[in-house]
Amino acid sequence: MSLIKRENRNGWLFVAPATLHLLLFAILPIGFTLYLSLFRWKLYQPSKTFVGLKNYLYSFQDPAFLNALSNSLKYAIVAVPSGVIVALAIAILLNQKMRLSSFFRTIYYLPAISSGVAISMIWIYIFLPETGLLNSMLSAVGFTSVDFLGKTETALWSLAFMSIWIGLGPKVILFLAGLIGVPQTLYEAAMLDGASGWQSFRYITMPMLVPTSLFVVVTSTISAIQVFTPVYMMTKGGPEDSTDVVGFHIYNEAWISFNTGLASAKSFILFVLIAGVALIQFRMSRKQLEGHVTQ
Amino acid sequence: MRFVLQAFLVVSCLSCSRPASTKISLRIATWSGAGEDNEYYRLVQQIYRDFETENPDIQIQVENMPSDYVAKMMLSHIAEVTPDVVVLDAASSALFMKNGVLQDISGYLANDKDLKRDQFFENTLLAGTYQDKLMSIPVDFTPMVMYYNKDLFDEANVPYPANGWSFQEFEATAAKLTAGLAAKKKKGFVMSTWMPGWVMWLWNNGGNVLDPTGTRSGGTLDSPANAETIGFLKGLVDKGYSPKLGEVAASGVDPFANGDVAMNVSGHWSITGFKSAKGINWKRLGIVSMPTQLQTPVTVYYSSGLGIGNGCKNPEAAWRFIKHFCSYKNQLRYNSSGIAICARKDVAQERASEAIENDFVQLVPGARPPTGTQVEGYAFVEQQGKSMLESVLNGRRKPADALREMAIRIDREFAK
Repeated sequence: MSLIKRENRNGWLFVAPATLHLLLFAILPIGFTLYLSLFRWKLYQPSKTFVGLKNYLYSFQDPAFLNALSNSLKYAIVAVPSGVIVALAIAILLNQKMRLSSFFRTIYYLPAISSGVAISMIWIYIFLPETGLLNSMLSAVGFTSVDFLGKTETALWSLAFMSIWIGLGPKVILFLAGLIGVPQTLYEAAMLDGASGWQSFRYITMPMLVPTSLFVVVTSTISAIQVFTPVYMMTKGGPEDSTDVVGFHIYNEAWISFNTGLASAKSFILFVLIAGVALIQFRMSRKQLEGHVTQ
Repeated sequence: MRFVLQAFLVVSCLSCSRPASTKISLRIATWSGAGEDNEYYRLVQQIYRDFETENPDIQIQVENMPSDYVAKMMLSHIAEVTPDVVVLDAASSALFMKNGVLQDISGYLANDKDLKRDQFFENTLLAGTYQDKLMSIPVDFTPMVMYYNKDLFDEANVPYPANGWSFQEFEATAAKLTAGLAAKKKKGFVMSTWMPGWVMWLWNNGGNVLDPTGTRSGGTLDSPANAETIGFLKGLVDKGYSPKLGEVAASGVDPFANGDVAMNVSGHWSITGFKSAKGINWKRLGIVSMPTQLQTPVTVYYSSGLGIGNGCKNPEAAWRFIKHFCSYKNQLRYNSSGIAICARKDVAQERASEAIENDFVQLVPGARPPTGTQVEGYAFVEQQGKSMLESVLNGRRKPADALREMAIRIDREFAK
């Protein structure tokens, strides 16, 4: 066997476990979801009726599903940019030469290794009217108590606010890695040329962080559109469906109403939506990426 | 690493070579959490252990499903591993009864020498009955009632209410209480948006949620009578007889248990919390029927029961367990937790020596099983009901519009 053939074979052996995992736990379920979405079927009923694309047509005319889609997009539009900006700011601070920086990196990463359910329970207490931590702080500076999770005007934004903190750890680590990778010589040259701190950030740090930022934005957007645990634990989609995001809506369709066919169609719509959003983000960033590569 | 793998293999082989137990394994599904450290949990565990002692050929295997019980049970049914004994919540029992999750146990009850049908409150058997087949034996239940705080009534110099009172009498009472307690910023009543806690208001004004076939909401839920009822409930909030939703949430406590309101609709389970509440003296609480515009007040009861899973290989053993659990001795113990009223009349009567327990028993005949005992997917209706009432009480929808929108959503759901 030639060296190239042997290397090819070894290469396939190395990627085989990951490929198998991807096939069994991603490709096949996605394909099966697509198949189920073509049937009218209650999970506990033995017979399925083939309905073609009717589940998709129904979904696009279902006001509850459209409301959930809208809520998910609103949530993502607020949670993703604010989460990225806060994470970048903290990463820049942690990248400074300071004492206890390792300690702070650990602290910021803690939410990422904590249970989503436990975090949600803690935030219920933080958001509690009157006696909650947030309201206690607000009342200390003269504001009246706000029922953050009980009002249609504030519930979704409160969850988005919470998501900034939950998602901070991985984003900060990624940005830190990106920042550490920026050659110091660039900053030294800029300093010699008389560049201000902002100019260094604008013309060195930001362009050099484009690949990292793209990765963070895409993965954060996917997570935001799929948000489920805080909604399930904290608001159950209320008040008045104002936090009924698409992940929670599909869960109810599948496990409360047991409409498996329809839930599959809605899941596939979500899959296409996420893929579409990721694609748009890649296309929008391609120009900047190309610029980064040529630098 | 190699040592760990070897040890694992040795332990696996040893456990495989162990002779199989000759005992019948009886799987019991409950919605309780595993390892809860409270009086109720200890009581139930003791009843299980006593059963194993009295039936040495049977070993109990408890399967706790503290969340998503209905979904998990349906999945176990689809996978043909339905537990042998299933604890049933009346509010969602139609799904189990209509889809073959449970066996018909009418024959067991009819032929049993100890457990008899007439030992139970007749209407509690309805929650486990589908198409004249008995699918579960009722264990305990509670009618939804109006609690009132006698201390606050006395303070406001308002006479205690009596069974059969009308909506107008209720509103007048709430108004007098609110006026009489204004100095202490207390209110007459507190309105909840939790639909299982307010659906009886519709019934007591001649309304309903679904048509008699249980398949359609339009034309029933959006009736003028229901719009009038929801408008009446909104009026209680608008006139200040009940705190606004935001105020209740903002307080972070149960206003009735805190002694901030004089009346509240709830079930028997609340008594356990009221006993430990610092804002009220539970011995000075009374209960009365739901206000009504009808000749006789009606209410809903929520109950739990025990059924035998359809795939149960030892239904005789499962029935022995149900008999054991529902026996006079064990039900007397079980109901000492105080969560609900025993479905057995003899136990309920014995526990009715306390005034409030006796008042509960008096209201049993007017209690109907929840709609979820006959209609699949009623949980969706209850979700919509909460959302609808929130929108009305917060002033975002008019009652008639909100009910019409809710009816449309329900009919869309039922048509899926």
